Amino acid sequence: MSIRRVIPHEPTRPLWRCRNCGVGWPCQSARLSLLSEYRGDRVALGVYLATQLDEAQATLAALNSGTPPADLADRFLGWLRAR
Amino acid sequence: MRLRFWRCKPAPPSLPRRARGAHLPGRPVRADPPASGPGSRPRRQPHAGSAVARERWPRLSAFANISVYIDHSPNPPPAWTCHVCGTDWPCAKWRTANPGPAERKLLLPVISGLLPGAIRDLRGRVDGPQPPEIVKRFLFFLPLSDDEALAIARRMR
Repeated sequence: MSIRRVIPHEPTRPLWRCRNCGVGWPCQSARLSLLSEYRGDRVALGVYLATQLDEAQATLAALNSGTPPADLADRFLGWLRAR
Repeated sequence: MRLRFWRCKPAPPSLPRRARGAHLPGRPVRADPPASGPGSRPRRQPHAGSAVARERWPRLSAFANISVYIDHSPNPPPAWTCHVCGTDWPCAKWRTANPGPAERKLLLPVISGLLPGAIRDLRGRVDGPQPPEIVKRFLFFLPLSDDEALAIARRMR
């Protein structure tokens, strides 16, 4: 019997893709776990995601000759609604 | 075994790495939905504004007031009161935090995401605030005129 290591849905730096699924972080699983982790505290979740967005913009801009991808803010914060 | 071609090299030690499962050094730990009233949440860990966190997260040092923003978060809607102070959110701690340009950039998408729900909850109360006043209250860090607040309120509801 082989033991599979559980790979968390966390961002890989500096590419900001999910370590488990390989899509742009936050993937759907990461969003779900973040929502349950910050249950009832959307402001703290928003502040956390905004700091991550800031860091992602900085690192991805460094990789892409100074311009970060255009849809980053939507990817990080667009899915978050007040309710 | 599947080939994980997207696996990148481990980050250099200068980049902040977080422990598995810990999103922020001081992420809020909330076991159950809080009852109403100040001080009802469990005590939180040392937050991201602490010196250790600032050292581990170099980019976070641009956000000096981040501990205030995380700790003094609002009670769940439709109350929109601060869970520490019990006053209308954003409370006096937020208002006196005086965010710099980096923090304004951080706060603007977060708070504008909250605005439609806040306007829906707060308008129409007896002696309650009008939508432009709600916009001015939530976007306290922007110098908004009455017309601008009204225009934002129309788009946000």
